[in-house]
Order: sequence, then C-alpha cells, then structure tokens
Amino acid sequence: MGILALASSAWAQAPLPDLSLEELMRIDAGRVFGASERIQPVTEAPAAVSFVTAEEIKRYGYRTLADILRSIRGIYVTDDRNFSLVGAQGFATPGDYNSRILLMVNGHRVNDNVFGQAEIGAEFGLDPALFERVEFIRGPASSLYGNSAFFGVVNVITKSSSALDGGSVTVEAGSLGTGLVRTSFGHSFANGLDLTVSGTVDHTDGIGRIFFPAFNSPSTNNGIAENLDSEGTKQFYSRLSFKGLTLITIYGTRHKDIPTASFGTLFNEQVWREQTTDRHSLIDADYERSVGHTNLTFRASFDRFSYDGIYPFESDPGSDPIVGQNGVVGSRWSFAGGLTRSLPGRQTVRAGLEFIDNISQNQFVRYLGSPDLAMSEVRSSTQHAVYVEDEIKLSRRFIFSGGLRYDGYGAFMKVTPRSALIFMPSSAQSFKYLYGRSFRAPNAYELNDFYFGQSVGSLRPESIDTHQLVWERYTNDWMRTSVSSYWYKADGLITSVLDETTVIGTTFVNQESVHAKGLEFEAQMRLKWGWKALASYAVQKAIDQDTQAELPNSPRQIVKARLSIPGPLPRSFVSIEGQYLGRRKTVSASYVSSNTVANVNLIQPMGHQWEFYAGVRNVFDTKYLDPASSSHRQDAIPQNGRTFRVGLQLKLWSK
Amino acid sequence: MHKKSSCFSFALIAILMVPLFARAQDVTDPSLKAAFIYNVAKFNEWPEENSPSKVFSMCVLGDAAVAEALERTVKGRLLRGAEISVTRLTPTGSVRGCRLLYLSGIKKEQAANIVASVRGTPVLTISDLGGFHEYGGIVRLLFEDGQLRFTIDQESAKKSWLQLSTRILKLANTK
Repeated sequence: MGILALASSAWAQAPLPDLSLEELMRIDAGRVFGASERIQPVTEAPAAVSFVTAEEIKRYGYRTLADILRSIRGIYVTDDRNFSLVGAQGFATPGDYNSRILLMVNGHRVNDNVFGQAEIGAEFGLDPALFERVEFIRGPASSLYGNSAFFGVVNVITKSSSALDGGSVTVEAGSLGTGLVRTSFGHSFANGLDLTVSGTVDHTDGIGRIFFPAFNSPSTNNGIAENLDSEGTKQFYSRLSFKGLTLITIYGTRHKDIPTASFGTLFNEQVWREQTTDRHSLIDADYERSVGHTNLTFRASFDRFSYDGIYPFESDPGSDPIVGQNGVVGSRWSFAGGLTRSLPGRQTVRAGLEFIDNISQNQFVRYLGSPDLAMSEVRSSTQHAVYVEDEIKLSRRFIFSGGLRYDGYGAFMKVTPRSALIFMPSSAQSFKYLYGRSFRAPNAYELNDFYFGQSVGSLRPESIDTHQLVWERYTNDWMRTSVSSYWYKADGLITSVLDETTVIGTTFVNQESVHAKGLEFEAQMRLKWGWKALASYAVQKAIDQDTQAELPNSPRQIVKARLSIPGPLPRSFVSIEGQYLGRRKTVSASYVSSNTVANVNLIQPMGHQWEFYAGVRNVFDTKYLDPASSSHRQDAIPQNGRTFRVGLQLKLWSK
Repeated sequence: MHKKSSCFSFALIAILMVPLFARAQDVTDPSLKAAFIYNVAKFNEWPEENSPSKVFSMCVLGDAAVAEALERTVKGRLLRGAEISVTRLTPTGSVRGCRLLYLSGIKKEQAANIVASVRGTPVLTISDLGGFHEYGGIVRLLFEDGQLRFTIDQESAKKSWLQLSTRILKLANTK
C-alpha cells in the first residue's frame, strides 16, 4: 500500500488539459447525492463519503451489493450462508439484520418495515449491472433520513437508458453450478421519453458438501450438509422518465437453501429443507421541478416486502419432521416532498416532509398439516417527519451546515441534529468536523409480544452520537486521498437477552452501550497507461460499556487494495483486489482468524458487439470463517473457496 | 486503542501523506470544467480577424475557482499560435475583448443580459447555468451521474459566426 502511494509522480496520469474530450467525460467528478439529498462535490459534503462507479463494478466483476460494499474502506460483510450482514465502524453483531444501516435506491428507503433490514446480498433484488453508482455516506444521518441512518447510508443510484445504450443479452456460467441470463434495453426517444427495462435470472447450486464440526456425529451425517446451499434470484427493473417525472419499478425475489441448521432445525434434512424466500416490489414515482431558484421534489412510493422461511424440527423418531413456516408481509406507502433553495448570504436550504403509512407489518407462524396459525401478529403504523438543513458559505474557505429533523411515531418522537464545519484551503482540499445524532426505532419484529413478551412494548429507540474529523485532498490531477477519524457513543442499543418467560426464551431490552473510535485512510490513484488503483486502511476499536469487552465480529484492522490495468489485448482490463480482515471474536468469545482474500477479473471487448469477461474470486482458495449468530450451533460459518465465472455479453443494437 | 496499533497507523499515514505536500492541482469540479473549456476552445473555429491578436482572451464571471483552475490549465499553452489570457470579470464590468465567456453562479436575468450583449459577435458562451440555451447561450455544462456532459445550441453558435467541430457536436447531448 505504501509502495503504491509512494510511487513517484512520474507515474501520474497526463495533466487534465492534455486529455481528450472523451477522456474528460469519463472522469468522475467526485459528486455525491446522499450526503445532503442534493448533488454536491464530495469536498463540500457534510460527511465522509465513498463511492463505487458502474465502471468499477464492471471491471472488478462485482456480483452483489455485498461485493461492492466489501470494496469500500472500513466496511466488512459477514455471510451466514443465508443473509449478508454489513459491518461499519466496527459494529456488526451476528444475528442482526442490518437495521443500523439505511439502504436507499435513488434516495428512497428500501429497508423493510418488519425487520428494518437492509438486504445487501443477492436478496437485495436488484442486479448490480444496473447500478450507476453506489454511495456510502459514513456516520449518522437521521437529521436528514430518520430511522436506521445510524452508522451510515448506502445509496444505490440506478442506470438510465444512456448508460445501457441499446439492447443487450448476457449469459454467465461458473463453478458451483452457477448460471445467469440478463437482458437489458435502454432507449431515449426523440420526444424526451427515456426508457430502461432489464431482467435477470441467476442460479447457483452452492457448495455440494459443507462440513460443520459442530454437527460431527453419525446421527447428523458426520457434520456434512449435502446440496443445501443453492440460491436463485429473479430480478426485474424498469425506469421511465419524461421531463421531470421518473417512474421506477423493481421486483426481486431470492430463494436460498440453508445448510447450517440454524434455529435448532434438523441438520441435513433433504425433504423439508430449511430455506428462505425474500421478495421486494417497489413502485417509485419521483417528480422534480424548478420554480425560479427553488428546486421542488415530490415522491410517492409503494414497497411490498415478503419473506417465507421453512424450518424443519425434530419429531418422534421414525415420523416426519415438524415443519414450521414463518412468514412476513410488510407493505408501505411513502410520501415525501422537499425543496432546495438558495437564499441570500450564500445559503442553501433543504427542507422536507415525509409521511410513511405502514399498511402491514404482519408476521405469522404455522405448522404444516395444521389449519390454524400458531402465531399471527397483525400490525400497522404510521410515521411522519419534517426536516430542514441549512448550508452557509461563511466565506470562500468556510462552510457551516446544520440540520434538524423531527420524527413522530405512535409511541414516541425523536429529534435528531447534525452539524458540520468545513474548511477548504483550496478547491482541492477540505477539512471537516462533523457531529451528528441518529436513532434506530424498535422494529416490528422486536415489538412482537407473542415471541418476546409484553415487556417489548416499552422498547425505546436507540441513539448514537458520532463525531468525525475528515481530511480530503486531491493532488496533482492523479490522486485523491481521504483520512477520517470517528468516535461515537451508542446508547440503549436494543439487545437480545435470555428470558425464560417468553415463547422464544429471549426478549429485547434497551441495554447495550458501545463506545468506539476509529481511523481510516484511503488513497485513490489514476496513473499512466490507464492504471487505476485504490488502497485503504481502517483501524478501529469498539467496546461494550457493560462488559468492557470488545464487540463480537469487530475486526481491529481492515486493509484493502485494488488495481485495474489494461490487459494484454486492446480495450481489455485486468483488475485485481485484495482484502485483509483482522481476527474477529465470535459470540461465544472464541476467535475466527484473520483472512486475506484476493479476486481477479478480466473484461475483453471483441469487436463492437461482443464482450467477454471472466473472474476468479478467492484466487488463493483461502479457508476462512465468519462469526455466526447465537441461533446457530456453529460458532462460525465457512465461506466460499475459489470460484470462477465466465460471461459473454452480446450488444443487439446501440444508438 | 492500543498504543502499539495507533503508533503504527499514524506512522503509516505519515508515510502515505508525504507525496501530498508536492505542488497541488485538483481534479475536482473546477479543474475538470477548466480542462473542458480549454478543450472546447481547441475545437471551435472563430472567424478570421482583420488584425489577428496575439492574445486569446478567455473571460470568467461568477466562479473564482474555475478562473483559478483555468489560469493553471492554459499556463504555457497556445491556441492556434496565440497566447491565452484569463480575465476575471465583475458583474458590472465590460466583456469587450473576450472571445470566450464562462458564466456561472449569477442570476438568470444577468446571464441573459450578458449573452444578449455579445449576440452576433464571435464570442463562445459557456455556462453551467440551467436554461442557458433559452436566452441564446451556446454551450451548457452539466453533470450526469457524476460525469461531465454538455449540450450545444447550434443555432446560437451560427448566429455568433462560430463553427464547432463535428467531433464536439457528436459528443454533445442533444439539447
């Protein structure tokens, strides 16, 4: 990493003015939307921001949002072979459902309304080939977005027709019985109508035989789960825009067999397999209009989430297992209106209103063969919010910004502030001090009193106070560096504790308090001969204040480096990345060792119509494990070894 | 944080930061815009002048950062044999002598007045203001998905006796 950054500036890319217009148009100007709900230069944004572009997603062959997030400094992803859990700022408690990260698609919240879950694996339901860019905004942002914007915000910006440029068909095949077919179409009509449609079907058999030492006994197939790791997705995306109106529809479904026998289910059960199916539908209408110096936005969206889990439990010897089906249906309308306006005194004000109607947040359990539901929790709720943020350019060098948001729920209300002071010695450099408070409201799952007893009715939102210092700098047209440090106090975290009086044997209380601090460094370089490189380093320490112990699944150090270079043939690129994750504690206080994983990807256009690509993930076949939640008998779950994929894209036509 | 690890990380950062104290130039917004302006100028034909001037004058109004970046960009570079000068205009100042005019961060009425004042003369007007073509501006810059894009109003260019190369017109988004 040091070697990369110390490379003499003789390696630096040609000066900007000597680049052609085409090359200039490919440069990323470093702009971000999600930090202030409007587009602004990263250096002026009141946050520490990272982003991954469509070009990078293609070059590195990222197949899921989880792959993309893994490439971002300080972020790590834990996979229990069912759901992917994202860790940021040293926090990723196994068994959590990503409810402390806000996930947005084009600025619209897509965390579900039962678990508050940000689905980042294949279950996200949107093909990364359709991402224009992914922004990650570190730290609290409840003052703008409300609930769940606790450790950070992930904003996925989807492609319009210009990025797809005509129609294409893509076919992929790979190890572990992997196959994918995608068809995409994008066209901009003369009358201004812009249309994009895409569909993807993806399947993988997964690992045929997975050995879990925790089940190593003759009665449980000597710990080997056979053919229980398959995953299949179907994804549909369309975008229609005309004048200021954009209409997006998304449908995604993912089915996963679970090999881990989690939640006390039967191990290696082949008939009634443990499995989950997640579905998300979204219809999102967004209208933008400028009136004088005021930019107005209106938005109406409908989300529907559903989830089904099949769980086989042991019954009398010789008879069929007892099969439990757990289902969730969440649907909601969201309405939002906002305005951005420049005011005298070099001020920019952003203000907005939001109303969410959670029509259903229903959960049920039934047992196969029984006509009655064993558990049914029918729930609905509403939320409303109002917020304002003001950015004042105090002078050419200083920007102050302050924001405040009020969120009203049935049982409580929450006011969250944020402020930022930004000093820019030049347009190429900025120093930022950021402070923000965020909250996460108890979700419908945690409030399920059938599972967790009446006491969960008194759960309150958890809150976090985060301070950040950020230094961002652009150097000599070829390097961007960013140093950020943070410290936070998170209080009243909703924690799972044992409680024998409840049906499940656990309940939730506002208990845990965590203090953490960390330091992150990143350098991004644009070098000669079309080389692009990025290196990052994060060191962090997160401590539970009750036990004074460090948190489970919280690596002390994370190092990442990646390099993309032109390949042996014209227009081809070879991209290599390596990721190191320090050792992590498991929930039973043992450790999984540190690991380094390397991936390689090649893209090779052939003529004007064809493009070939191939990728190998975990090139060195590193054996490593991710800590498991307490609903697993295993302490840690093995991850994929070396896998490969090849793909071919055919452009049917282009403009 | 343990003493050992924080020492390590600070040492690392100190090492990594060394090259940063070299001469700084940015690839932020302003320098990208400046490089773009220079590039467009390279591919634009101005009508022959009776007495060709030795200095080609680019004027910037309303964006000091772009003016700064443009000065760096054109330093030591020529445009068809002529040296390039960068002039920072004030809202009330004259635009006389400007052959290229970049407008930003001013009110629509102001911009419209300035564009009207150079109408019919060979001045290439460029701006990132919304609706720049509505009152006869020639090149409008915008950012799409974090990348620089532009639109060209060919009618206005013709009225100003300017001929943009087909290469540029191909890259321009249709208005």
